[in-house]
Amino acid sequence: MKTGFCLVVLMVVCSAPAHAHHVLGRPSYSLNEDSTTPPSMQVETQIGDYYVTYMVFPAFPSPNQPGRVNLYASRIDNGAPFDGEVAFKVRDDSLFNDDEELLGVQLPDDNVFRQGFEFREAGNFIVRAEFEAGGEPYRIDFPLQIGEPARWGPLGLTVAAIMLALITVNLVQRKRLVSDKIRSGRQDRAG
Amino acid sequence: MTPHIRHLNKLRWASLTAVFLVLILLPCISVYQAYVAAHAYDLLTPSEKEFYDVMETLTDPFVSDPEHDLDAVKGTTWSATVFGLKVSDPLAVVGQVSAGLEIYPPFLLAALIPVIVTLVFGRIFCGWICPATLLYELNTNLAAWLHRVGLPVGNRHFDRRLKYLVLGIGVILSMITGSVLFAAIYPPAIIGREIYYAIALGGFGAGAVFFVLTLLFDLLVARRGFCRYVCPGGALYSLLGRYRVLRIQRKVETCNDCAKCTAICEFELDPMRDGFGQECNNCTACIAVCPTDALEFKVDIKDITYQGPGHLGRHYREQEIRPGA
Amino acid sequence: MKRRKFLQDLISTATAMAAAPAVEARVVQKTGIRYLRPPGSLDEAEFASRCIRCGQCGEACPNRCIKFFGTENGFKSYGTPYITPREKACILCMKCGDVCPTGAIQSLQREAETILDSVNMGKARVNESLCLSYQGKSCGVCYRACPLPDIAITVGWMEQPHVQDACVGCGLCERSCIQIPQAIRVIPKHSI
Repeated sequence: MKTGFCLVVLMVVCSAPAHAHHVLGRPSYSLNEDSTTPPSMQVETQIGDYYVTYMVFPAFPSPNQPGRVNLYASRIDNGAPFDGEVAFKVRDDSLFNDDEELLGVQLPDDNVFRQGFEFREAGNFIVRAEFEAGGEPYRIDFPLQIGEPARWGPLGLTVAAIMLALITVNLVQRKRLVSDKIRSGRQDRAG
Repeated sequence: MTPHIRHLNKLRWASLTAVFLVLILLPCISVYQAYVAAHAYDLLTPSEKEFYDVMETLTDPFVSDPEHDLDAVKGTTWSATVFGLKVSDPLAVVGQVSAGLEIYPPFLLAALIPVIVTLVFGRIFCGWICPATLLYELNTNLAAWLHRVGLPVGNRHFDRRLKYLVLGIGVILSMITGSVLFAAIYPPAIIGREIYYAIALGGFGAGAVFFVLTLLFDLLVARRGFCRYVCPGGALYSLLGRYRVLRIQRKVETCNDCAKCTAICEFELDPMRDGFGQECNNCTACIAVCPTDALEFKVDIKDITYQGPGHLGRHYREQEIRPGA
Repeated sequence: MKRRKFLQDLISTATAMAAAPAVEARVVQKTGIRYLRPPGSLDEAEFASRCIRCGQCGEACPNRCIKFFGTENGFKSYGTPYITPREKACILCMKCGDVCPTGAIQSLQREAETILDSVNMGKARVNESLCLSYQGKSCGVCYRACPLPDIAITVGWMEQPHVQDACVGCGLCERSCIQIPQAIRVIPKHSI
């Protein structure tokens, strides 16, 4: 019972909303390898007064491969670009992890904030961009994945496992279940 | 009476399975139609091509122009469009009217067929169509098996009227927030949606988590707990089906008081003591399990009041009376 | 609509009175996403109360551009349809309005006049510092992608795009923009 609840809690935490993102440079209906444009990952968010676009080159960098984050910020109301400085921080994307590392602080170059990186290990990371505009602090988290993406998320796996267990038990025990149900139903009422 | 009404329960399982399979098929059709509309077979990945080919073989005998002809059936058990006819769950209408504080007549019409069917057959949606019922009943069987191998399963009881409260609170919260909240907690709405998400959009959403929670609730806290105590749709269907025309009733002269019907009933009703009420969903599980065929369908808008013990009971009672006399 | 506003005000006042005065100087801004509603959708406030989250619009969309909110846009938007034009834009086929049972997405004819009159998903905006045509490299891809060329978008010197008021905000220009990131984007109706 306890493990069941832990599992559910985990699932709820893990299913925190992902940002809208997609891989550019490839036809959207097929993410296969034969494309001449180097793919890049783009995430767009809307925060306070700003649209913030975040890009990763290449889309899924491998360990020990230099990559780059580009950040664009412009006002929602009139499209004017943000011209202050942006700090980039990174942390491991696991539960209860607060170890943040500063990647660098960047000034805009032609309205783009560029930040290079190189990771030694594969894994899922969170890149946090921080800046201040109009006296308000802005803090935005973006995903960064080093290495191959997982095909099935924890949620899909759990749901699939539960459905499989349900169906298997029902198929294997088909005959016995009616009498079992009657027995437990009677105990249920007696107790 | 006739022994073949015993097989209705099997028919019901077939119906539940068929509905579930259709809910899986429809998103597949939607994806296939998108591939067809794109006219880009060559750009598909090998697995997508395989999917395309399978869907083509499946649908080819029925349609000449898959891009448009397959639009005939869309939707889920929550709301669907079938050959231009729109059918919606009455709960969707109740939710929308309370959220919008306004009435949109075409949408009211969409609930007409389900309401009429419920007025005649009672909670038949719950028993025969609801895709969650299939999984919940499989879950009950899992619980029975767990119970046999000695693992603890929940058998707590609550007040069945709780679900009417959930319905009422849902209506009030919908009015306040202006959002159709039932869609987020109503399993038949969740399941169709989540299957679509998983097949067409690449993964389950938050609704799948909620549904798994309800499965665990049924397993660990109360047998069939969500349907019995929480489901707002079940509450609405129960109210609509209170004076249903067709209902299961007991033939006292054939009944031998074995209580199998009462034990098997998923809704903790008591067929053995003529305790059916508005919550019976005509699932026919009691008919299938009855050893003496003492349960049958009757046309009546009211339940028979308690008829006393069955013939075997009378036999015992007479035996008891005789020594005293 | 007014009754609900009253209810909401009543409740928020009650909670504000019940809660202790918050000692928070600066609130960190909340993130959200830029999204469009399907063509023919009602206004944002009304949409959430009309939409029953049945998902038929997404199922009917031949371009698979309609996605559904989880909890990322607040609980009120849960399960409602939206479009991210950069990923997949609306081709204005109007099938979603046909299947919508509640009229949250209005059923509209697929004709230029009807679409120009009744569809308002947003309006495109060009970012001149990113647009190739404004950087001296004649492009014009957005103009060619537009389903309503010369009405919604016109091009000038070096095929520099100019978005007109007639723009319905379908997002096909944004989807097709060859610049990375896109130099033209649709600002949704509810953000303007």
